[in-house]
Amino acid sequence: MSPVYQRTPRGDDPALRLRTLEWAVFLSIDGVRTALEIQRDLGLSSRDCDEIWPRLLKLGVIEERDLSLAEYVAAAALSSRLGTLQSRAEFLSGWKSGPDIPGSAGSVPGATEPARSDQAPTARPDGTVTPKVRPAFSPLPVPGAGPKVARALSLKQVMKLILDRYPDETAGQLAIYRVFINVDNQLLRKNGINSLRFSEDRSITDRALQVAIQASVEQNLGMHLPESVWAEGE
Amino acid sequence: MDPAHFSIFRDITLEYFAKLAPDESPPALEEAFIQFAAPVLLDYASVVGISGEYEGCLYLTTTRPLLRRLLELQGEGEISERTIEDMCRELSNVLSGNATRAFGAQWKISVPRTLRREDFAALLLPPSTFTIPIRWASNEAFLVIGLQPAATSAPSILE
Repeated sequence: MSPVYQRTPRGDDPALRLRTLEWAVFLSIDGVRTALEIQRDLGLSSRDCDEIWPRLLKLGVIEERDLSLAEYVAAAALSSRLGTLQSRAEFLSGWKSGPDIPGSAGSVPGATEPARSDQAPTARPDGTVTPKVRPAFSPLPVPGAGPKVARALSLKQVMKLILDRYPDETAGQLAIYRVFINVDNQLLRKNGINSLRFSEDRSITDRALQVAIQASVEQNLGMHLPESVWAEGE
Repeated sequence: MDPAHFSIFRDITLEYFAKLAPDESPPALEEAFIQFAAPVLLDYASVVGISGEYEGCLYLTTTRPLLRRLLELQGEGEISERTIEDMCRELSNVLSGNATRAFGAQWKISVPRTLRREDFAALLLPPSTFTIPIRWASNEAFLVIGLQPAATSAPSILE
């Protein structure tokens, strides 16, 4: 799994000098997103990052962060998904540039797709049929990878869960406030959450914010978020 | 923050208004919310710093018309900038006394401060605040708690 890094106090040194891409990576480190996610968000190649992470570690301006179980599970799921997508992209890229072997696509069991109209077989005058276009390659599904459907975290469900746990409304609301004190304010605002009423709903699809809220609920209230707070999203 | 202590603080603060005007409808609490953007600030603010497990402040922010109404209820003949600020200072002292009564055992309570709108820019408030709207005598006010983890606090407003 890709590690999660956090900045160290040494990173606050005004005398710190970094290269442009190193600053971009350094300033993206939030203690929540994995290294792979930051790399993806900044559009950097693995080659770029092969140099940047070791240099930031060597300078002592970042360090690997200890994760709670919930944070690990969330980060592992993200790394797994990104890794799968990356491998698949590399594989398809290799396939496109590889040798054109007629009929090879059909050699993968269960990989054939229904022919589209532009792939329809062409009938020759002698009656034989030649495929017009080779069917597109479709790899077998990776177990557990599933379709790319992000889950949304329902803030209303999270707040209801907390409110239900406390004997009175004020205690529940203060517990919710305690959760959000420990969530990065800028991350909330980046997601358009400038204020929050206890009865309103917000669907959170930003993975970093989901992880931050989940971790804060766990660390500050000792509660684990159940499946009921999640909904399938886009 | 102990919810029971907070409830005491909120209730005795509201009582102050109710006692001043027993013939008027008592202050009504509206639905609380958490503010992540700029904290709510009206014309004046009575601020008390607190520190303990978390660090931050409690404040009551009010409008000029509300302070005028309080002066009228106290029988003040002169309604001016000076007396309005005096009224705001009195609210700050009330707030500080209430905070000490409710939270004094667990939290360090600072000397109260009274701020006008033009002073707000210099006020370092925690980024996330718990805000309770209060409606009283056709005026609005907000009772606000702003806390942040002590280890990551910006320079304290207690100083």
